[in-house]
Amino acid sequence: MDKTQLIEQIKQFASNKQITKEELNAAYDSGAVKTTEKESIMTHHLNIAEVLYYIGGLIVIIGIIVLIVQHWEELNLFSRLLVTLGVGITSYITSIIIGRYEKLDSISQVFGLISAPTTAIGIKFLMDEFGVELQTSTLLSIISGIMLTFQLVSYFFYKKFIFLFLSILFATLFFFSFTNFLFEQTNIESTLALHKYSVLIAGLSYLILGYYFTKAKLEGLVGFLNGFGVVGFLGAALALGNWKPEQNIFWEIIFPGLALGVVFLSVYLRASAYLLFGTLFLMVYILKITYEYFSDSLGWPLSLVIAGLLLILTGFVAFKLHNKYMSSKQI
Amino acid sequence: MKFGKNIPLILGISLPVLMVIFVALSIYLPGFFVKPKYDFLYSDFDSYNNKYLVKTNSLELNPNFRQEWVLFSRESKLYIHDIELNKSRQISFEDAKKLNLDSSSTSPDGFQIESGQGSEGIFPFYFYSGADYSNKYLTGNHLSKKLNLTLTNSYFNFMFLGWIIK
Repeated sequence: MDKTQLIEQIKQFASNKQITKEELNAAYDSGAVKTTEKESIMTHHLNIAEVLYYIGGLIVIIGIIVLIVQHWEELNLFSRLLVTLGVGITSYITSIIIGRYEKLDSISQVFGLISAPTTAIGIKFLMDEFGVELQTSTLLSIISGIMLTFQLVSYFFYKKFIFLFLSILFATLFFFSFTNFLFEQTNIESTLALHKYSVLIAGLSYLILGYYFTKAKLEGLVGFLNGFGVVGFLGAALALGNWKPEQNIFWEIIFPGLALGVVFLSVYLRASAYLLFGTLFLMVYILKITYEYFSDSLGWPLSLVIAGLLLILTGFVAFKLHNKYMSSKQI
Repeated sequence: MKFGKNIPLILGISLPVLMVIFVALSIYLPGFFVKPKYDFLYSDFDSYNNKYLVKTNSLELNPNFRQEWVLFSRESKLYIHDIELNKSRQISFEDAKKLNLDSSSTSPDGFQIESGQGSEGIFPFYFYSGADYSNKYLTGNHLSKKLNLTLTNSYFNFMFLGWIIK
């Protein structure tokens, strides 16, 4: 049914007195509020007051950690659990209660942020008290798995940005912990390379999710995902190339293609994080390759001159791309 | 239409999941096809001052052992590691003496016990991780399997004594 048909039908309903003006208004308002709420949750940009709320939240978390470290021996089990799990649960409940008031939504999100690390540390202490002794990777996998489930369920019920953000953080931690747990089960020389592949996959996953959240109009996360995604993906690809004489030719050859691909994707996606980090990694690559392969044959000073000129060219192209395609919109 | 819109979301979540599945399969799959057969005997003592040694396929007390050199005055214990269950159980010296042992480093079916290679993790997640030096692994025939030994720190106090020949 298109708009004209709908209006005609409303006219018909009104003439037959099957619908009142109030009913129509109520239906319109309810639909409009839902859309606005959903958009405001995710497309929200931080103002100064909100930045201060988050800084305050981080200071609270640091304060709790310092308190635990300084007074650990003096605290009994009850006190230890009170300052960790107690604070975590209380912050979570506070977040949910005050989150009902639209004006206090930002503060509610900060309480959600405080609750996550304190609850995670609390679970660790609880496991210690029950005598659960596990290797670091196993312990982190269990805690991050519990926290991931908890944050996903919270997001499902309350649709708050902070729960989605924390879900992604704990999913990342779970991925690294669990892959590391798997790497521990085998004794191969190339464990470090496996770690690099983990970071590469996590970075690529962040980039794809960043694209999804842009398309789905969930922009609150896009900057974070794009920034860390590009750094993880290109950082791991560069690290996989390794260093002469243990270099990996495949990754060394493919890297400029990946970095240039990221730079040109920045135009298509209008994502300045792609342009910034793509350019920076390309510059690092130019310096690395110049030092590795040309410092002996051309001599280090001449290599530096060539590398410098290439860096200027890279920077100039990036600057032009930014001015042409990104001056109106930045993510 | 909605599915098409969600493809990036599905792909973004599936990639790490697929990597986990791929790594898990490549680690655990060989274990289904390669079955080591020989259990082994070990002690939780360091090899520089070992209390036990294997001579003509049986366990004996080492005449050069010096109790005063033992760190922390700890009593040495003997263990049999069940290779199928990947589990150790303690055994007395008297019972261990009755075992027929092969003290060569490679088992008759081609497996060896190695220490972890060790590798640096990726900051900030781990300063040190991966196959740890203190872990012991059964390797050979395309298998590399972590051994669940009964030790506090196997880097300093694991001493392999012999494969148990039945």
